[in-house]
Amino acid sequence: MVKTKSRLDFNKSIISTLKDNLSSQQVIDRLASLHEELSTLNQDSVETSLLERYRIDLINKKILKSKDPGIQAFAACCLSDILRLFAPDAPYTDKELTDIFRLFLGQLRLLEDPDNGYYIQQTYLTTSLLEYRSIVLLTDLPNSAALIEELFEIFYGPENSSIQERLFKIVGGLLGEVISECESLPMSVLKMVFNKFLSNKGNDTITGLQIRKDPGFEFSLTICNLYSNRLGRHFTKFYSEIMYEILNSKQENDEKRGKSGYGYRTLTKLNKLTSKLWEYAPDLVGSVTGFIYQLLCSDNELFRESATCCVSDMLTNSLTVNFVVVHNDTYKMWLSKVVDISPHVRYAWVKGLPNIFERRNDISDALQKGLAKTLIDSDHLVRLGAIEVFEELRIEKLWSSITNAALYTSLLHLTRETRRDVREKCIDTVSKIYVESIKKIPKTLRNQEIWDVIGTIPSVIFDLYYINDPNINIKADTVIFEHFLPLNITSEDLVDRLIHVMERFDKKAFSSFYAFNKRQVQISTVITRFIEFCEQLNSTESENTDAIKSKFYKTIEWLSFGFPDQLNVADILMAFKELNDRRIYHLMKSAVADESNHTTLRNAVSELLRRLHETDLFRKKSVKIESRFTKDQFVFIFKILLYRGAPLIYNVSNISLLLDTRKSAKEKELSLKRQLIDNISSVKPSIFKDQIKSLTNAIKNLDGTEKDLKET
Amino acid sequence: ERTVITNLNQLMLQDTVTERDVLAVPELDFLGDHDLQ
Repeated sequence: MVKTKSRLDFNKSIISTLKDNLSSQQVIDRLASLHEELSTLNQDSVETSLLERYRIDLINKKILKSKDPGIQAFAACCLSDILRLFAPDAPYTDKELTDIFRLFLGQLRLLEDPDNGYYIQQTYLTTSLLEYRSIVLLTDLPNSAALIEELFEIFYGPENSSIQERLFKIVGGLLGEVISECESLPMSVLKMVFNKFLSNKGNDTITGLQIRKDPGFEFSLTICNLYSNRLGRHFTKFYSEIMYEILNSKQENDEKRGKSGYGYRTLTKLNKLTSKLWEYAPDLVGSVTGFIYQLLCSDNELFRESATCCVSDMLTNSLTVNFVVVHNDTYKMWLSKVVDISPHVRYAWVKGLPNIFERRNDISDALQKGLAKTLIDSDHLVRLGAIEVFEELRIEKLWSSITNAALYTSLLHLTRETRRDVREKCIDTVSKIYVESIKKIPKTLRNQEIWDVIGTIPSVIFDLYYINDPNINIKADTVIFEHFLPLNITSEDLVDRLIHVMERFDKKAFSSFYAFNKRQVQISTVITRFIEFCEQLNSTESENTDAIKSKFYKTIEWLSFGFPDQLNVADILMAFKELNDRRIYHLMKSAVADESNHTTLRNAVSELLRRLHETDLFRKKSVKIESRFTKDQFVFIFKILLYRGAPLIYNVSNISLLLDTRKSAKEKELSLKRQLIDNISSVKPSIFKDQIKSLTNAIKNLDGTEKDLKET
Repeated sequence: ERTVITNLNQLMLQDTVTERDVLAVPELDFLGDHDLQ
């Protein structure tokens, strides 16, 4: 309880003189007593004239400039109380106050070392300077800018990373009071405060088992939350000064350097800061949205691009305040960037979408309208960006954000793009979407329209073969056997997957599917013969080498057909023969053999590719490949040959599953299974030879529908 | 709007073979009779 006092009990001298010589410890003890009493005095009830003696003595240079840490610490505490008791007057000259604050700053600096011996006193000082706002006296001094800078440097410097957490709010408040008192602050100080938002990635450092907060960031956060009004005005000034710098540094060579130029980089940092501030202190940003609006309309494309990214970030983080509502004009201008004259700006716009979709769904319609435009954008970069939106969203988020089926239809068109990069990205993306969807998205009445489109993806892929471009064919092969019908799933799952894949085949897709499987048998035969020729040509016992050689070269020519020239398939096949690796020959034959069941096939392909991938494959057999092709290209060709030549779909393991119609409830499924059995029986009837029992049962199960019987 | 394509067909690759010829391969007669399917 604060006692009301009208006089001071303490009356000893605190200055050492010749007559009254005091040791440092005595001075400290006396200062401690003085401090204790002063701290109990109440401003309203004390007669300041009674304090005159100590008011003067405390600024005696023996005290104020003492090198003794104890004297400094207690003197500072006493002086903070003097200032409190005399407030609102500061009973010192500017010079004296400057010296006093230098003492104070020295004490504040020691807060980083809680073991300095006088931590309690420094804490008292800090709290007192804040509580009674005495710190603001700093701002009226002649060299206030330098003192303020020093104050901020003390707390934002790296040395202060060990300041105790319980002081965060007090220090933040202290700095905030200074900010709120100043009309203008040095740029260096504003940079210290704001940079913390840029450098803090939301992470705190982990030392040992504790997570340590970044004090500088915490100070900045406190300042923003408690002093946002004044800080807002400083931020506006800060922003406009930097913009002025940017606009006036734009010289000719800077423009040419574009994104690596000073102007763009600085603007990007500034906008990043703005979007970060939006997260923590949205009120501050209100003062600069005018600038952002102007940037969105600027003649300079880089400015428009940077501002677009900034707004995208703010839309992503509209948790406490809704940017769309509070800054509707700027939002509308941002929306219009989807038809900005520059493709870079349109690309920046579309690239912001996944994060926005991830965090909110209230503007989904407007975003989908924009996305639809980007899918048919005249610039390939923007179309690529649009596809990337579909690629980046998690499948569940994709289905819940992009609810207009027409967008998926638009997306599928891009699988036939003339530009290879866009086309291949699209083919990969839609294939993954298809597989993820059948795994994770149940079919409901609500999403029926979208399923009507997604379900056609395999058909769209099988239709690609009709373009008859060898590169596109390879791409289709790859997605079919790496996404739709991968080797690493069980036969049961494969057959289920196959039924799904074929469910929405159009007529063309059926034809290319059947053609693929018919060709598989032919490729299998040729590969088998190719291996035999390799073995014969490598053997010393062979007769009739010329005839074999001739067939061998024709085989290579045949196998090369259907591959683009630049892949050098003939050279690759020649090198394969030179390898003369018996195990690899065996694996290859096994992988393409009709009789190989699913397990055998999977194991053979796996071991084969592993062996082909070995780094010293050619070296250990002394085969020189020079620069005709790379190792990766070599393996790639064999992978594609396997996709085309191995019985991956029409496999013996799948036959019994296709014949088993007991589990199939749906007519469509039964129909597909029958069609497959039909086709298999015409393309490779021999794989039925182990299935007599199943066939017999199937016939028995047909139960009177003999007219459906086909000849086996 | 200048930024979007009005004629999508300009952008898309068309089919160049029919259902009869899709994924067709050359003849296998060079191998000899017993190999042909």
